[in-house]
Amino acid sequence: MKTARNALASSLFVLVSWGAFAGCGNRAVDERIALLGEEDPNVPVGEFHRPGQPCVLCHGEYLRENPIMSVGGTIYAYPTKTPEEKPLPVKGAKVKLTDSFGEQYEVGTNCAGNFFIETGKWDPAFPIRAEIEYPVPGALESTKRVVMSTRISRDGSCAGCHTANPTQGSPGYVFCAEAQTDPPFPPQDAACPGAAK
Amino acid sequence: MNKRPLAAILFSVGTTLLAAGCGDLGPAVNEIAAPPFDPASFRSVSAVLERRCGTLDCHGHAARPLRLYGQYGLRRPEERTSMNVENYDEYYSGGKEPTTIVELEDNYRSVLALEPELTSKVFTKAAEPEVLTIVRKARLREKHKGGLLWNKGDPGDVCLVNWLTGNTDTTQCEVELGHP
Repeated sequence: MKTARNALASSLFVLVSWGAFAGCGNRAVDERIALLGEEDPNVPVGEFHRPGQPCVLCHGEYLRENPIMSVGGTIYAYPTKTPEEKPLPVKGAKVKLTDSFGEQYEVGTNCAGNFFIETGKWDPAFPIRAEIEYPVPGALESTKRVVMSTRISRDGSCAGCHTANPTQGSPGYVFCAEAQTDPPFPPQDAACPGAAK
Repeated sequence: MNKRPLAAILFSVGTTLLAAGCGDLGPAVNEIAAPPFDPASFRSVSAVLERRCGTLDCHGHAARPLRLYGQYGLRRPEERTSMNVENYDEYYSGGKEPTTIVELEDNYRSVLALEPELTSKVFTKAAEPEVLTIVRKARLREKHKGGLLWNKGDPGDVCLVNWLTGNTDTTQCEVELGHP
Protein backbone atom coordinates (compact mmCIF):
# COMPACT_ATOMS: atom_id res chain seq x y z
CA MET A 1 0.00 0.00 0.00
CA LYS A 2 2.83 2.31 0.91
CA THR A 3 4.51 1.59 -2.41
CA ALA A 4 1.32 2.42 -4.31
CA ARG A 5 0.96 5.66 -2.36
CA ASN A 6 4.59 6.57 -3.09
CA ALA A 7 4.08 5.83 -6.76
CA LEU A 8 0.98 8.06 -6.84
CA ALA A 9 2.82 10.86 -5.01
CA SER A 10 5.78 10.74 -7.37
CA SER A 11 3.47 10.67 -10.40
CA LEU A 12 1.67 13.73 -9.10
CA PHE A 13 5.00 15.45 -8.44
CA VAL A 14 6.12 14.77 -12.01
CA LEU A 15 2.80 16.03 -13.38
CA VAL A 16 2.86 19.23 -11.31
CA SER A 17 6.50 20.01 -12.06
CA TRP A 18 5.93 19.34 -15.78
CA GLY A 19 2.91 21.65 -15.66
CA ALA A 20 4.95 24.35 -13.95
CA PHE A 21 7.75 23.93 -16.48
CA ALA A 22 5.40 24.02 -19.45
CA GLY A 23 3.59 27.05 -17.97
CA CYS A 24 -0.10 27.79 -18.22
CA GLY A 25 0.27 30.35 -21.01
CA ASN A 26 -2.16 31.42 -23.67
CA ARG A 27 -0.64 30.49 -26.98
CA ALA A 28 -2.92 32.80 -28.96
CA VAL A 29 -1.76 35.82 -26.94
CA ASP A 30 1.86 34.66 -26.86
CA GLU A 31 1.94 34.50 -30.64
CA ARG A 32 0.39 37.96 -31.00
CA ILE A 33 3.04 39.33 -28.64
CA ALA A 34 5.84 37.58 -30.53
CA LEU A 35 4.59 39.17 -33.76
CA LEU A 36 5.19 42.64 -32.30
CA GLY A 37 8.92 42.14 -32.74
CA GLU A 38 11.89 43.59 -30.90
CA GLU A 39 12.11 47.00 -29.25
CA ASP A 40 13.33 49.95 -31.33
CA PRO A 41 16.91 50.42 -30.06
CA ASN A 42 16.49 54.21 -30.36
CA VAL A 43 13.55 54.33 -27.97
CA PRO A 44 13.93 53.49 -24.29
CA VAL A 45 11.25 51.24 -22.82
CA GLY A 46 8.70 53.64 -21.39
CA GLU A 47 5.83 55.92 -22.33
CA PHE A 48 7.19 56.59 -25.84
CA HIS A 49 7.93 53.03 -26.89
CA ARG A 50 6.10 50.89 -29.42
CA PRO A 51 3.69 53.52 -30.82
CA GLY A 52 0.85 52.04 -32.84
CA GLN A 53 1.09 48.67 -31.10
CA PRO A 54 -1.54 47.06 -28.86
CA CYS A 55 -0.44 48.26 -25.39
CA VAL A 56 -2.71 46.11 -23.25
CA LEU A 57 -1.44 42.90 -24.83
CA CYS A 58 1.63 43.18 -22.55
CA HIS A 59 0.43 45.80 -20.06
CA GLY A 60 -2.71 43.86 -19.20
CA GLU A 61 -3.87 41.13 -16.89
CA TYR A 62 -2.04 38.43 -18.85
CA LEU A 63 1.63 39.50 -18.81
CA ARG A 64 1.15 42.18 -16.14
CA GLU A 65 4.03 44.32 -17.42
CA ASN A 66 4.14 47.53 -15.42
CA PRO A 67 2.26 49.80 -15.64
CA ILE A 68 -0.89 47.72 -15.98
CA MET A 69 -3.26 49.55 -18.29
CA SER A 70 -6.98 49.46 -18.89
CA VAL A 71 -6.79 51.48 -22.12
CA GLY A 72 -3.87 52.59 -24.27
CA GLY A 73 -3.13 53.64 -27.81
CA THR A 74 -1.58 56.07 -30.25
CA ILE A 75 -3.23 59.01 -32.01
CA TYR A 76 -2.11 59.98 -35.50
CA ALA A 77 -2.89 62.99 -37.68
CA TYR A 78 -4.45 61.37 -40.74
CA PRO A 79 -4.73 57.89 -42.29
CA THR A 80 -1.85 56.41 -44.24
CA LYS A 81 -2.43 55.00 -47.70
CA THR A 82 0.55 52.71 -48.22
CA PRO A 83 2.55 50.42 -45.93
CA GLU A 84 5.65 52.54 -46.63
CA GLU A 85 4.03 55.77 -45.44
CA LYS A 86 4.95 56.58 -41.82
CA PRO A 87 2.02 57.88 -39.77
CA LEU A 88 2.38 61.29 -38.12
CA PRO A 89 1.75 61.21 -34.35
CA VAL A 90 -0.19 64.03 -32.72
CA LYS A 91 1.02 65.51 -29.45
CA GLY A 92 -1.43 67.18 -27.08
CA ALA A 93 -4.59 65.45 -28.30
CA LYS A 94 -7.14 64.75 -25.58
CA VAL A 95 -8.69 61.30 -25.48
CA LYS A 96 -12.08 61.35 -23.73
CA LEU A 97 -13.62 58.06 -22.74
CA THR A 98 -17.03 57.28 -21.25
CA ASP A 99 -17.79 53.84 -19.85
CA SER A 100 -21.14 52.08 -19.70
CA PHE A 101 -21.92 53.55 -16.26
CA GLY A 102 -21.36 57.05 -17.61
CA GLU A 103 -18.01 57.47 -15.84
CA GLN A 104 -15.62 59.64 -17.81
CA TYR A 105 -11.84 59.85 -18.03
CA GLU A 106 -9.62 62.15 -20.02
CA VAL A 107 -5.98 61.67 -20.93
CA GLY A 108 -3.55 63.47 -23.23
CA THR A 109 -1.09 62.18 -25.82
CA ASN A 110 2.68 62.62 -25.64
CA CYS A 111 5.09 63.47 -28.47
CA ALA A 112 4.93 59.88 -29.76
CA GLY A 113 1.13 60.16 -29.94
CA ASN A 114 0.91 57.60 -27.14
CA PHE A 115 -1.54 57.71 -24.26
CA PHE A 116 -2.45 55.19 -21.59
CA ILE A 117 -4.60 54.84 -18.52
CA GLU A 118 -3.43 52.75 -15.60
CA THR A 119 -6.01 50.30 -14.30
CA GLY A 120 -5.49 51.65 -10.79
CA LYS A 121 -6.62 55.09 -11.93
CA TRP A 122 -9.57 54.06 -14.09
CA ASP A 123 -10.92 50.58 -14.67
CA PRO A 124 -13.87 51.18 -16.99
CA ALA A 125 -16.91 48.98 -17.51
CA PHE A 126 -17.02 48.09 -21.19
CA PRO A 127 -18.38 49.03 -23.67
CA ILE A 128 -16.67 52.43 -23.86
CA ARG A 129 -17.45 55.47 -26.00
CA ALA A 130 -14.36 57.29 -27.26
CA GLU A 131 -13.71 60.72 -28.68
CA ILE A 132 -10.62 62.78 -29.48
CA GLU A 133 -10.15 66.52 -29.21
CA TYR A 134 -7.10 67.57 -31.16
CA PRO A 135 -5.36 70.94 -31.56
CA VAL A 136 -6.25 72.41 -34.94
CA PRO A 137 -3.03 73.09 -36.88
CA GLY A 138 -2.32 76.79 -37.27
CA ALA A 139 -5.21 77.88 -35.03
CA LEU A 140 -3.99 78.89 -31.59
CA GLU A 141 -5.86 77.11 -28.76
CA SER A 142 -8.56 75.95 -31.16
CA THR A 143 -9.54 72.29 -30.99
CA LYS A 144 -11.68 69.93 -33.03
CA ARG A 145 -13.65 66.95 -31.78
CA VAL A 146 -13.85 63.53 -33.48
CA VAL A 147 -16.13 60.81 -32.13
CA MET A 148 -15.41 57.12 -32.72
CA SER A 149 -18.21 55.66 -34.85
CA THR A 150 -18.53 52.46 -32.80
CA ARG A 151 -18.09 51.60 -29.16
CA ILE A 152 -15.10 49.74 -27.80
CA SER A 153 -16.53 46.43 -26.63
CA ARG A 154 -13.72 44.73 -24.76
CA ASP A 155 -10.20 45.46 -26.02
CA GLY A 156 -8.38 48.26 -24.21
CA SER A 157 -5.72 48.38 -26.92
CA CYS A 158 -6.66 50.78 -29.70
CA ALA A 159 -4.24 48.91 -31.95
CA GLY A 160 -6.07 45.65 -31.27
CA CYS A 161 -8.35 46.77 -34.13
CA HIS A 162 -6.70 49.95 -35.49
CA THR A 163 -3.74 48.52 -37.35
CA ALA A 164 -1.75 50.22 -40.13
CA ASN A 165 -3.68 51.03 -43.31
CA PRO A 166 -7.44 50.52 -43.60
CA THR A 167 -8.39 46.99 -44.69
CA GLN A 168 -11.42 44.72 -44.64
CA GLY A 169 -10.46 43.88 -41.06
CA SER A 170 -9.22 47.22 -39.75
CA PRO A 171 -10.21 50.89 -39.98
CA GLY A 172 -6.51 51.82 -39.98
CA TYR A 173 -4.66 53.86 -37.37
CA VAL A 174 -6.65 56.12 -35.03
CA PHE A 175 -6.51 59.47 -36.78
CA CYS A 176 -7.75 63.01 -36.20
CA ALA A 177 -8.51 64.24 -39.73
CA GLU A 178 -9.50 62.43 -42.94
CA ALA A 179 -6.41 63.82 -44.70
CA GLN A 180 -3.52 66.24 -44.15
CA THR A 181 -4.94 69.68 -43.39
CA ASP A 182 -4.03 73.18 -44.59
CA PRO A 183 -2.09 74.45 -42.67
CA PRO A 184 -0.59 71.03 -42.10
CA PHE A 185 -0.15 69.12 -38.84
CA PRO A 186 3.29 69.96 -37.39
CA PRO A 187 6.02 67.35 -37.80
CA GLN A 188 6.96 65.21 -34.83
CA ASP A 189 9.32 66.91 -32.37
CA ALA A 190 12.83 65.78 -33.35
CA ALA A 191 13.72 65.47 -29.66
CA CYS A 192 11.00 62.85 -29.17
CA PRO A 193 12.44 59.35 -28.74
CA GLY A 194 12.08 57.45 -31.98
CA ALA A 195 11.37 60.55 -34.10
CA ALA A 196 12.98 60.85 -37.52
CA LYS A 197 16.17 62.91 -37.18
CA MET B 1 -17.09 -16.21 -23.48
CA ASN B 2 -20.30 -16.23 -25.45
CA LYS B 3 -19.72 -14.43 -28.73
CA ARG B 4 -23.31 -14.55 -29.99
CA PRO B 5 -24.76 -11.58 -28.09
CA LEU B 6 -21.79 -9.39 -29.19
CA ALA B 7 -22.28 -10.39 -32.82
CA ALA B 8 -25.98 -9.65 -32.54
CA ILE B 9 -25.29 -6.20 -31.08
CA LEU B 10 -22.73 -5.40 -33.80
CA PHE B 11 -25.19 -6.55 -36.46
CA SER B 12 -27.97 -4.39 -35.09
CA VAL B 13 -25.69 -1.34 -34.77
CA GLY B 14 -24.47 -1.89 -38.31
CA THR B 15 -27.94 -2.18 -39.79
CA THR B 16 -29.12 0.88 -37.84
CA LEU B 17 -26.20 2.93 -39.19
CA LEU B 18 -26.91 1.74 -42.71
CA ALA B 19 -30.58 2.57 -42.34
CA ALA B 20 -29.68 6.02 -40.98
CA GLY B 21 -27.62 6.59 -44.09
CA CYS B 22 -24.21 7.26 -42.56
CA GLY B 23 -22.63 6.52 -45.90
CA ASP B 24 -24.47 9.41 -47.52
CA LEU B 25 -22.57 12.59 -46.75
CA GLY B 26 -24.26 14.73 -49.39
CA PRO B 27 -25.45 18.27 -48.63
CA ALA B 28 -27.84 18.27 -45.70
CA VAL B 29 -30.75 20.60 -46.23
CA ASN B 30 -32.91 20.80 -43.15
CA GLU B 31 -35.45 23.53 -43.59
CA ILE B 32 -36.73 25.12 -40.43
CA ALA B 33 -39.39 27.69 -39.79
CA ALA B 34 -37.54 30.98 -39.34
CA PRO B 35 -37.86 34.67 -40.14
CA PRO B 36 -37.46 34.97 -43.92
CA PHE B 37 -34.44 36.78 -45.33
CA ASP B 38 -35.91 40.12 -46.32
CA PRO B 39 -33.05 42.59 -46.84
CA ALA B 40 -35.40 45.56 -46.48
CA SER B 41 -36.46 44.76 -42.91
CA PHE B 42 -33.40 42.78 -41.84
CA ARG B 43 -31.08 45.68 -42.69
CA SER B 44 -32.31 47.58 -39.61
CA VAL B 45 -31.99 44.52 -37.36
CA SER B 46 -28.54 43.81 -38.74
CA ALA B 47 -27.52 47.44 -38.26
CA VAL B 48 -28.38 47.18 -34.55
CA LEU B 49 -26.43 43.94 -34.21
CA GLU B 50 -23.50 45.38 -36.18
CA ARG B 51 -23.43 48.47 -33.96
CA ARG B 52 -23.92 46.79 -30.60
CA CYS B 53 -22.31 43.38 -31.11
CA GLY B 54 -20.23 43.46 -34.28
CA THR B 55 -17.30 45.66 -33.27
CA LEU B 56 -13.93 44.35 -34.39
CA ASP B 57 -12.92 43.42 -30.84
CA CYS B 58 -16.06 41.34 -30.31
CA HIS B 59 -18.37 39.58 -32.76
CA GLY B 60 -16.76 41.38 -35.69
CA HIS B 61 -14.18 38.62 -35.69
CA ALA B 62 -14.03 35.67 -38.06
CA ALA B 63 -13.28 33.17 -35.30
CA ARG B 64 -16.17 34.11 -33.04
CA PRO B 65 -19.60 32.50 -32.84
CA LEU B 66 -22.20 34.99 -34.12
CA ARG B 67 -19.63 36.42 -36.51
CA LEU B 68 -21.03 39.66 -37.88
CA TYR B 69 -19.98 41.65 -40.94
CA GLY B 70 -20.76 45.32 -41.39
CA GLN B 71 -19.74 48.76 -42.60
CA TYR B 72 -18.11 49.74 -39.30
CA GLY B 73 -16.71 46.34 -38.38
CA LEU B 74 -15.38 43.30 -40.15
CA ARG B 75 -15.98 43.24 -43.90
CA ARG B 76 -16.77 40.05 -45.77
CA PRO B 77 -13.60 39.06 -47.66
CA GLU B 78 -14.03 40.27 -51.24
CA GLU B 79 -11.69 40.69 -54.19
CA ARG B 80 -11.60 43.93 -56.22
CA THR B 81 -13.42 42.14 -59.05
CA SER B 82 -16.32 41.12 -56.80
CA MET B 83 -19.80 41.95 -58.05
CA ASN B 84 -21.00 42.18 -54.43
CA VAL B 85 -19.27 45.52 -53.82
CA GLU B 86 -20.13 48.81 -55.54
CA ASN B 87 -17.23 51.02 -54.42
CA TYR B 88 -14.27 48.80 -53.62
CA ASP B 89 -12.04 51.71 -52.60
CA GLU B 90 -14.45 52.40 -49.73
CA TYR B 91 -14.90 48.73 -48.88
CA TYR B 92 -12.99 48.60 -45.63
CA SER B 93 -13.85 48.70 -41.95
CA GLY B 94 -15.28 52.19 -41.42
CA GLY B 95 -15.34 52.97 -45.15
CA LYS B 96 -18.28 54.56 -46.97
CA GLU B 97 -19.50 51.35 -48.66
CA PRO B 98 -22.65 50.35 -46.73
CA THR B 99 -23.14 46.80 -45.48
CA THR B 100 -23.65 44.76 -48.67
CA ILE B 101 -26.54 42.40 -49.40
CA VAL B 102 -24.26 39.37 -49.12
CA GLU B 103 -22.95 40.65 -45.78
CA LEU B 104 -26.55 40.99 -44.61
CA GLU B 105 -27.30 37.45 -45.75
CA ASP B 106 -24.22 36.13 -43.96
CA ASN B 107 -25.29 37.94 -40.78
CA TYR B 108 -28.77 36.45 -41.15
CA ARG B 109 -27.29 32.96 -41.41
CA SER B 110 -24.93 33.67 -38.54
CA VAL B 111 -27.80 34.55 -36.19
CA LEU B 112 -30.05 31.66 -37.24
CA ALA B 113 -27.26 29.10 -37.14
CA LEU B 114 -26.59 29.69 -33.45
CA GLU B 115 -29.56 27.66 -32.24
CA PRO B 116 -31.66 26.78 -35.29
CA GLU B 117 -34.15 24.46 -33.58
CA LEU B 118 -34.82 26.88 -30.73
CA THR B 119 -35.01 29.81 -33.14
CA SER B 120 -37.65 27.89 -35.04
CA LYS B 121 -39.63 27.33 -31.83
CA VAL B 122 -39.44 31.02 -30.99
CA PHE B 123 -40.55 31.98 -34.51
CA THR B 124 -43.56 29.64 -34.31
CA LYS B 125 -44.35 30.90 -30.77
CA ALA B 126 -43.72 27.46 -29.31
CA ALA B 127 -41.10 28.94 -26.97
CA GLU B 128 -40.33 32.25 -25.30
CA PRO B 129 -37.57 34.39 -26.88
CA GLU B 130 -35.47 34.08 -23.72
CA VAL B 131 -34.73 30.42 -24.51
CA LEU B 132 -32.30 31.85 -27.08
CA THR B 133 -28.73 32.52 -25.96
CA ILE B 134 -28.52 35.63 -28.15
CA VAL B 135 -31.47 37.15 -26.31
CA ARG B 136 -30.22 36.17 -22.83
CA LYS B 137 -26.63 37.33 -23.40
CA ALA B 138 -27.68 40.76 -24.64
CA ARG B 139 -29.90 41.11 -21.54
CA LEU B 140 -27.02 39.82 -19.39
CA ARG B 141 -29.22 37.05 -18.06
CA GLU B 142 -26.24 34.84 -18.84
CA LYS B 143 -22.50 35.55 -18.58
CA HIS B 144 -21.50 37.80 -21.45
CA LYS B 145 -18.03 39.24 -21.95
CA GLY B 146 -19.56 42.20 -23.77
CA GLY B 147 -21.71 43.05 -20.75
CA LEU B 148 -25.27 44.34 -20.74
CA LEU B 149 -26.42 45.58 -24.13
CA TRP B 150 -30.01 46.27 -23.19
CA ASN B 151 -32.70 45.27 -20.74
CA LYS B 152 -35.86 43.40 -21.67
CA GLY B 153 -38.21 45.82 -23.41
CA ASP B 154 -35.52 48.33 -24.40
CA PRO B 155 -35.53 49.39 -28.08
CA GLY B 156 -32.64 47.08 -29.07
CA ASP B 157 -34.26 44.15 -27.31
CA VAL B 158 -37.65 44.79 -28.92
CA CYS B 159 -35.95 45.15 -32.32
CA LEU B 160 -34.30 41.74 -32.02
CA VAL B 161 -37.25 39.93 -30.44
CA ASN B 162 -39.69 41.39 -32.99
CA TRP B 163 -37.62 40.02 -35.82
CA LEU B 164 -37.15 36.62 -34.19
CA THR B 165 -40.90 36.29 -33.68
CA GLY B 166 -41.82 37.31 -37.21
CA ASN B 167 -42.89 40.89 -36.47
CA THR B 168 -41.58 43.10 -39.28
CA ASP B 169 -42.00 46.40 -37.40
CA THR B 170 -38.48 47.86 -37.20
CA THR B 171 -39.38 51.15 -35.49
CA GLN B 172 -37.52 50.21 -32.32
CA CYS B 173 -34.41 49.30 -34.35
CA GLU B 174 -34.32 52.87 -35.63
CA VAL B 175 -34.77 54.16 -32.06
CA GLU B 176 -31.86 51.99 -30.88
CA LEU B 177 -29.69 53.22 -33.73
CA GLY B 178 -30.43 56.78 -32.66
CA HIS B 179 -28.67 56.20 -29.33
CA PRO B 180 -25.08 57.47 -29.15
